[in-house]
Amino acid sequence: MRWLLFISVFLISLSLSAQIPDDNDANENIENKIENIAEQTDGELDYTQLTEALQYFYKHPINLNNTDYDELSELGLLTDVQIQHLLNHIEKNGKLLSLYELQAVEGFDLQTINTILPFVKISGDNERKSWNFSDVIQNSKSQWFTRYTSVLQEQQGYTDISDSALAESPNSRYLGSPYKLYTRYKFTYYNLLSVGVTAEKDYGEEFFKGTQKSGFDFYSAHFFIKNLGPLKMLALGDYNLQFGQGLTMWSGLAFGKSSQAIGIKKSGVGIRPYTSVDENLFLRGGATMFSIKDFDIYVFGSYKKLDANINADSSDGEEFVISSLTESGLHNTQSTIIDKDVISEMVAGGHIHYQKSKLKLGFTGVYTQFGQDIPEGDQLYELYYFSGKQNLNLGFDYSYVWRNSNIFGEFSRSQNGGIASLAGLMTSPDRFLTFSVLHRYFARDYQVFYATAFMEGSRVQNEHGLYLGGELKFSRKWDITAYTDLFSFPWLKYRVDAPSNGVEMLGQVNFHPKRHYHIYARFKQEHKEINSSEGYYFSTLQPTIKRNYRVHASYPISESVTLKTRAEYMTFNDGNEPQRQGFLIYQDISFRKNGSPFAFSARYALFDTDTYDERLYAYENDVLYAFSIPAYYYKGSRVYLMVRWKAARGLDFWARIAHTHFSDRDEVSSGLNLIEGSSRTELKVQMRITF
Amino acid sequence: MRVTLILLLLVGSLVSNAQYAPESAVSLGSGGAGIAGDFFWNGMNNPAALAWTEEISAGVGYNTRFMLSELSDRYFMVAYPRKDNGGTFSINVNQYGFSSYSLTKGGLAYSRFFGPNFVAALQFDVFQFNLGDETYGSHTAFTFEGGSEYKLNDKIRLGTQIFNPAEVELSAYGNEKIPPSIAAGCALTLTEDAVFMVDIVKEMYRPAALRTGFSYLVMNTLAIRGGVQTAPFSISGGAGLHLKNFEVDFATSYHQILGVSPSISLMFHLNKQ
Repeated sequence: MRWLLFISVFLISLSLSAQIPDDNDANENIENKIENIAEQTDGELDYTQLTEALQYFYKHPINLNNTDYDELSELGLLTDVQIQHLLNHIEKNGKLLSLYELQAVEGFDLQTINTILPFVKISGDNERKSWNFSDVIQNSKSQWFTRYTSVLQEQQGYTDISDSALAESPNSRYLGSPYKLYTRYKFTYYNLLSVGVTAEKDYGEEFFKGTQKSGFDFYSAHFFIKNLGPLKMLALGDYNLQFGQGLTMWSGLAFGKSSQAIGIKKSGVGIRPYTSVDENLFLRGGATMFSIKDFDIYVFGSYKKLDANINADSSDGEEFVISSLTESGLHNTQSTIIDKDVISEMVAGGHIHYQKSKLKLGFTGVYTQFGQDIPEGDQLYELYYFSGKQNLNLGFDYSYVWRNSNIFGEFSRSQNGGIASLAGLMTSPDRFLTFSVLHRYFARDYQVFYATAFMEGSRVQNEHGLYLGGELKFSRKWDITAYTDLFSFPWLKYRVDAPSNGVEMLGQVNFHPKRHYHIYARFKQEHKEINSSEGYYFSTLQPTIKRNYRVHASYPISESVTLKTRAEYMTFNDGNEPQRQGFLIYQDISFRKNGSPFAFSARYALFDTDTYDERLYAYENDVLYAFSIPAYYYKGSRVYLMVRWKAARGLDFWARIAHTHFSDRDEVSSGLNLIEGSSRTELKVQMRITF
Repeated sequence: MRVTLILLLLVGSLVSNAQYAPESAVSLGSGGAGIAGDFFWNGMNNPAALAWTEEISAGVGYNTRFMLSELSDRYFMVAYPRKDNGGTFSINVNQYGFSSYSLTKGGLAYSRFFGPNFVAALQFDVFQFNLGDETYGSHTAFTFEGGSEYKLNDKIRLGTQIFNPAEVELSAYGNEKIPPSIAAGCALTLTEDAVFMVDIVKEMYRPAALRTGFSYLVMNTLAIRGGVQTAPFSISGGAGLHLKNFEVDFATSYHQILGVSPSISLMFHLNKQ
């Protein structure tokens, strides 16, 4: 079976030739950044929101002769300085006559141009910036996705169990079936109107029975409208907010540190309809924005239920007491069902945004109220975590572009007096050199719920850091990017029982021999302190050093076939323990040809790490709007094959199979996900109907 | 003593070379690198390399590891390039060990160009493992490997090779698998006469290895080579003599404890038609 799979992949790949170039420059940027987010978290995240804008602009390229700051900023591939230079250039010299003219714009090098090329054009006014009711029906689009995901091996949580044994330990089995089901319907009219419903059943959750009488465990719906009369934006249902630098209100995911070392600034779009399936990172209610002269005024309100652990001491019948909030979004066991939606959260607030030529100022106020008291944490590291019922966050943000420089930042304060601040500078002394500096200080007692700033830790709290990044372009083909980030945590953290320090450094040499070719070598080093395993009577910290060495080559061998090869080696020093190592190597092949109903991509990887601590992450191609950035750890091999088939106009299918084989163990995973055997295979099938 | 040592080394070297693709004297001289090579003998590193071959060629070779005949490799290879970009067919057979312990691998490969700068190959392999002993007897297994090389420009070639991704078992005995491997390499043509190569090779049950080396044509008839490889660490060097249709290459690697491992290969090619 495996034989056939491999040989067919190989033969298909050999028999194919030529066509449209893979637009991999921007994709690669995004993939790299998403890999970085995945490295920072343990959970599985839904990255849809980070890629949706690109998907949209790929289908509806921005007309550079008829655009504005907001639109270019939403694209997310240009810096503020570059946007400003482009707009100035057009204002001064008139409309762009050809995309080649971009090379004459200050701050635009060939690499930047290649990156944005698939998303821009210079003529054709077929994009709607404002409503035209006569063609809403004609030019609107409906998309319906359904995705099924399942693990083919039997997992512990789904095995048979006697009723008496289950009664004794009710959490020893999942309640529902071992597959994941996702469905989404969305109706859009350009980016002016979006109406949709998303629903998801996670692994092990019940479906239309038992605890899930209404079918899916998670439903999300949105109605979003833009530029209609005085309403610049209106969102009803589920939405995300993005303001300033993310200290006061930024409810979704955001990119952080990455090998694009100079990209440190956030450019929020204000209100965004929510179409992901993360069960926590969004707001539910309504939000609107209208403009008065140079002021954009946002008002928003949200009410939703959150999951929380209920304290075992709560007496029956009385109001229960919660012990902590939970964020997994899984409701597949007795205990997670009990924890579901037990506490209400109300968020209300506003944001005022002022923009006058190159200056932008913003003021944000967010009030949060919970249905009941969030108790203080038991652990010392939780001492400054939020407790109580309500919180008020006030923030002020700014950005100013002056010649080749952009300064920006945000101050924020929480109700208890905790403050957070972030200030940054991006500057290009000449077109070959750009550097960025960023300072952040998040007090140990700053408390906020929806925030994602440029940071090392996972909460906008208890961090003080200084970042310096730079990008030097030697020539059209060669550039180097590097950053150093010094950070300290003034208070304790999970598994760090004392204030601690750290340094992260990255250096990357990039070689772009031709368009779409990218070869790089990267070194990354991270020093951090964690609890020493040797502290018997009281905790002491010990230094850990992680070093990663990576070489990566991505090269199209024809217009339709692209190969990618990566090798990465890492070492991990944990105090006085012997050095541990990890290694990953993979070979990818992908095929996409304009006009062909089929596209596919495949990978074969070998990995070898001493423990879980040396795990290495690598982005994998997945079906549209699904993401896979697995950690490769222990020893073994991983292979995946993904096929897309355009069966008919408006009807697409995707199928993906990913198989991991561990050569050094007979069990995979643990707990309810335990598989007796050395392999894990995941199957995904997706259908899209567009009409 | 000698018997014990041989047995130890046999087991060790089987593990250390379980994929079983012996290094030709050309590759060994350059530290074992050659995944992105374009020379006849690089076909043993990566079957795609034979697509660059323009003449019917044949070669034989012999390695002894640490000067022990029991730990020797014998190999031969024939390449038959078809006219008009019809690709190259090749056969190679390698044998390792001696009468009471041997591993034989036979390969049939087809390599060809796809476009002006890209070559790829598919090779079917048969393995025979023989313990010369009735209890364990012999085992046969079939698998395949594939490779490709891409000429980025006149100076840079990138190569990649995947062996046994289907993870075929050699025998059902304790699920003994033929270890799959992935190798990626780069060849830099520094001047017309000098090539520098670097490969990264990962085999499932072994640590990843870096193999790097150079080849320098000091005069039309003489090339010298040198290189290093890690896991296990060794330094190697060699030379090649090119005489009309005939080539002879010598190389040796040096391991700090186990000593030298000399190697020779002979190659003959017909005139270009």
